[in-house]
Amino acid sequence: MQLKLNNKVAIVTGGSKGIGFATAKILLEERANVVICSRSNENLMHAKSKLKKYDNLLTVQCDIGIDGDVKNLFKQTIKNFGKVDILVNNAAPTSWGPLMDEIDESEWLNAVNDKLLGYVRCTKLAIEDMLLRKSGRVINIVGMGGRGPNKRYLTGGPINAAVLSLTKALADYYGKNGILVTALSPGPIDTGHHKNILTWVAQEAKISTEQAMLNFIEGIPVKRYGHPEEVANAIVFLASDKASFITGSEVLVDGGRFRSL
Amino acid sequence: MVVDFDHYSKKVEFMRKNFLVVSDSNFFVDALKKYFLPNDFNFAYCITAQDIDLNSMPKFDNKLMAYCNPMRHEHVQSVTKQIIDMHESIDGLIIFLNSEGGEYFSTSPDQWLDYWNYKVLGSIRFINQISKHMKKNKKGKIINILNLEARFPNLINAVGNSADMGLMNLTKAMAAELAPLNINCNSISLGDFEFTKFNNKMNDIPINRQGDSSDLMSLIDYLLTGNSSYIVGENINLDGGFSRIL
Ligand SMILES: NC(=O)c1ccc[n+]([C@@H]2O[C@H](COP(=O)([O-])OP(=O)(O)OC[C@H]3O[C@@H](n4cnc5c(N)ncnc54)[C@H](OP(=O)(O)O)[C@@H]3O)[C@@H](O)[C@H]2O)c1
Repeated sequence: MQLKLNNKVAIVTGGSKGIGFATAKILLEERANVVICSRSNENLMHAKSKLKKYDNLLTVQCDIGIDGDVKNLFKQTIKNFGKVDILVNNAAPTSWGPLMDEIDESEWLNAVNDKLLGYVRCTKLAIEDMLLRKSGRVINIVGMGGRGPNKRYLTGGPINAAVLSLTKALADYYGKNGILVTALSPGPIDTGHHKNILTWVAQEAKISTEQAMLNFIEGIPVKRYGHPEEVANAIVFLASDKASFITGSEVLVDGGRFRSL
Repeated sequence: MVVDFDHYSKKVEFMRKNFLVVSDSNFFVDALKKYFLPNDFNFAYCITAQDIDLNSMPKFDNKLMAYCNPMRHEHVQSVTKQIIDMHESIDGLIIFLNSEGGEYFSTSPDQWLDYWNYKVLGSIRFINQISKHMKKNKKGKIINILNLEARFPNLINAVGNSADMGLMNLTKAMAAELAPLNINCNSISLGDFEFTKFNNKMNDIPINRQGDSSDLMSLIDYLLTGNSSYIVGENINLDGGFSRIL
């Protein structure tokens, strides 16, 4: 697709693996300048080596749960590429498994700090720069746990719901400034994140992880897992001029799995 | 509208039942008092605030009222223990904590976390403690009261709106965990009431008036009685028809 993303500058948080990595790759193919961040330098170096044919990639080690790290991410981006046009809030460690009274308080507060406030930190700095040109895109990667609460996703679900709420409020406020804010919820995608989920589903149902996977797939109308590239394509579309009237919406990329109105 | 409290007092379902109301709204607690007190059941309430940092643990007075900071695990534990010592069991828990969390622009990440700690984790602390006893008795009703505004979020109250949506999600997730133990967990999203901040205009409300205590009490009454036992993890918009959303 010709998405006219050349000369655009995109930050993809958690871009060293999974959906973030696939998104960075497509953005690079579309000739955007791309900045990826993640906590581990090793993961970043690994990603960089896989994307070595592109010279418009910058990697910055950054934990979105830490104010100073996020400030540095934006500082490096502006220093190298001069602006921020697109922010893909994607980095997020969320844990599956523990029930209500098994989650300790620090785990809760860390989860809120890392995903919800991590997204807030990045969004504030991105919008500050986008306002200078009255143009920009923020795409928040959420997850079906936001709309479909699950007793084994006790920290992740509420935080995703909160990110959805924030997405709509930001879209409402910044639409007049040409800044469009959307959410995208991937269904089950074959990344490390989802393997973690299956382990718990298997333990709960006392079945093997393979059986848990087959059961899961049975519940997906297209009868397979999604691939990170399929999510990435939708993210890049939302970041492009083709999506110029889409804001405040949540796009589901889930093979039809979520069937509620 | 005049509340027909006699009607409620005739209800046998409530007899000798014990309820705990946790709220930082005196207005809300007063409304509930009017509803609970004429009946033959026990009603205790806990007024909460973020800045309550009592050196001693919360203590119920003879009006069955205690002050407590839900950010402090030991406070919540102490309140629960006193209720159980008094009544041996607890049948219903109603939580209504301030939905005004702060605006997006000036709230720092630390303040944002503090509010989550108060509202969302505070509710979890109470539900965790109280549901332990409900589990033993294999029955109980939990109601989280939220602000309908959270379903139409804005940046002016981004912190509160997002926490309310988190709590709505959590109510449903917890309901799934607790329902097999005969504990129903639901939430109510309040529209324009005397004790809510609601920025939408009256002419948007089809019923053409503000909600009053009796509107809320009827719904709470319904959710607390056995008649509603198949309602699990539901969020009910109590808004005079305002929301009009699927
Ligand atoms: N895969 C699915 O089925 C699925 C479904 C629904 C929603 N999602 C959402 O999609 C997003 C991406 O998921 P994924 O499956 O691609 O995950 P993934 O394969 O586990 O990758 C996560 C990426 O985020 C980085 N990261 C994690 N915590 C970070 C932090 N605090 N600061 C900076 N970077 C951080 C990781 O690198 P480091 O470890 O080096 O930091 C990694 O690059 C997440 O928001 C997830 O909730 C995924």
